Amino acid sequence: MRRISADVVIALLLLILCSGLYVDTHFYETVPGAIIGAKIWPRVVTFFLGGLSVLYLIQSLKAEPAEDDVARGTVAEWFLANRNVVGCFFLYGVFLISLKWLGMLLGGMLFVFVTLTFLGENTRRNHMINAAVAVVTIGCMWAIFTFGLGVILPQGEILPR
Amino acid sequence: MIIENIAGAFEAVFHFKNLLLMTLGVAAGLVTGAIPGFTITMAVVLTLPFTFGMSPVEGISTMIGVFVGGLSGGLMAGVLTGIPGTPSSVATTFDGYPMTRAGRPGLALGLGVWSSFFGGMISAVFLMLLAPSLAKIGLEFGPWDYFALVLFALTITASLAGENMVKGVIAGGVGLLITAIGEDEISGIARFTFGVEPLEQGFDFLPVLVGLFAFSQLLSDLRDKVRARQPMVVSTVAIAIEHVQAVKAIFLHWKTLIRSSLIGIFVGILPGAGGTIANILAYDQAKKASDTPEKFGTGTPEGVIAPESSNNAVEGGALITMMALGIPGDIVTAVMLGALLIHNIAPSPTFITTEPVLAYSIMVSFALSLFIMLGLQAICLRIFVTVTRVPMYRLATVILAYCAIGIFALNNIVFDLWVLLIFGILGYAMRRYGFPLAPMILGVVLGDNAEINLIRALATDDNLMIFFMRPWSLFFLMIAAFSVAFPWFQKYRGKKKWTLFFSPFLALSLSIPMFMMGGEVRPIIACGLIGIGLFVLYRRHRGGWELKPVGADEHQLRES
Repeated sequence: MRRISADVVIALLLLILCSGLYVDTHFYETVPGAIIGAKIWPRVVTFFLGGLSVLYLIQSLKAEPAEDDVARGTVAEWFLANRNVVGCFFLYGVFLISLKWLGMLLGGMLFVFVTLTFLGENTRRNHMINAAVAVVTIGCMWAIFTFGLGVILPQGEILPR
Repeated sequence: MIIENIAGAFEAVFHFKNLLLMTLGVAAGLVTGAIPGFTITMAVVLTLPFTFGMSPVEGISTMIGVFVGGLSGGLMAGVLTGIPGTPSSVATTFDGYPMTRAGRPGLALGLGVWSSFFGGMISAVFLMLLAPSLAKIGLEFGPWDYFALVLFALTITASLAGENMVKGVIAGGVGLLITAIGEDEISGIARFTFGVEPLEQGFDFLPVLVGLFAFSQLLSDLRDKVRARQPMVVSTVAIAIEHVQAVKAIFLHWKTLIRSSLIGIFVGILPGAGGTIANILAYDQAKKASDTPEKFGTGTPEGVIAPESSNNAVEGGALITMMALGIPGDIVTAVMLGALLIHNIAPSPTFITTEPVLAYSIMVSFALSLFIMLGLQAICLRIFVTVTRVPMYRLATVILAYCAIGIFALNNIVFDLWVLLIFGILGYAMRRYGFPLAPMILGVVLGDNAEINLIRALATDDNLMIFFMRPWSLFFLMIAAFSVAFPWFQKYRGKKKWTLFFSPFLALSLSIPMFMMGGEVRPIIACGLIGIGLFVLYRRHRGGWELKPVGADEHQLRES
């Protein structure tokens, strides 16, 4: 059986997205006296994108599956191949969630240290360097933005105000 | 009046603080441009958060500095290691690296540096001469014409994606969609927000841009576990740049310099086309025009002069379009346009008349950056050697954290950081599945303009035929149509008969709106276009409509 290529899946997702967005435009109110409604532009864009998605779907169905698609393995293999990227996105997400408590200074240092440890070699020397890099770089950036540019960065609840 | 404005621009640009910021910008650009994997766009994008607290002149000057530095920095890695620092230095490595291996790295660097300088200066002169004239043409545009221009900018950018044209246009469409999210400016009705309150304000340009470009680029660089842990480039020894020899060689090949600079300016004026195309195109043309084409690829000076002068000339061309029409000539100018929007300045055909000091400051700071670049090249070469010893994962992680701090500084809201993450994921996925990011950025930058002008056009008259009846609108729609067909033309050139009609038909078609424009000069141009079209058709008829295969050189360049 022929496998569905990634392009087909993306085209289908785009079509679903465009349909959903188009339906959403029906719920926009029309302001009395307005010559052009707020729904015109979103409809133009969704029609345009929807039409292109159909074209993309046809093109993808006609095309031979790419080598990547044929050689594609299990979900676990995909995760292993994209370990670094998925890990970084995850750690970044955790960093954003923790901002409320840790603030930009502590959270940033922790994010840099954990990410460097996750991406780098697991040696004691490396951990020391990672810690130094985290403290110095984030400390400098924090100082530049706070004192140099006058930006009030999130302080968090752990550090005293 | 013009002299007063130029004097005002000089005063603003030569202010001590501005000079310092420009120097820092050029230095940062030189180092970033030299690091393989870090693009100039990324460097300019990352500079943006620092510009919030600056005046518009300081902010734009700093970004121009980063850009000029980045273009020149790309050649350091290319010449010394054979790995281009930026995509716009690809062709420089063809002859720069063989020259280094032949024991003349100082000359190769000198040729690159001085070609960049001269190419940039030629384009700065064109910028000063052409931008005001083009802006006068821009004043003729109505909303129909401006909407068609935006459409043209999107299609030409997408067409540069080659066989992925559909993906390119989809990317542009997604960019337009992003700008549609949030409250409608006229009626205040929330669109595509699905009850999520922070979405009512729409997405800010900067988190979207940084997410799509910088975040996704950094993570792409980190994907390979082994490569991410290695130093970026094997370190190189300190080298003295041979300035005198290089300048002599450039004057000897002045025709190559002028031709390549003009190619760079032309490519820069085209919306969406950037230094990468100019770099390769200029190399190709230099090879074709050379008396010794067989020497190309072995370390000939012309092979360095052509690509380096053209990629620096691109920026002057791109700035012409941005300042005269409000359409970014490439992604970097799209970022600059975004920076101006942050300062509540919207480039449009009236930009030069309404903001003359800022407009001339852009021109002056562009020229000044080239001089700063010359002075800093030797110092930055040493910094580059040091920086490239750092493993990629360390630099990338620190920059990821910097992105968070910089983006938060924009509006002081954590929601922007989530936007950054989401668009980082989207950008990474788009890169992985072959969707070009340039059309999407253009869509994001031009989306609001497109909407406003379409609404204005429809509010004036709901007859859509007006788009085909107004000369400029018809002109842009025609070239948009031809740019859509261009990837197929490239693919089938030399193989299918219809490709023989492509260029003469383009010339003949464009003559129609030129005639419609009236006046004295434009009908003459239209006659010229008809003459060219008919002449090409006649020659092909005389040749028996014979298909000529595409040259081997072009195949080699396309592969590289």
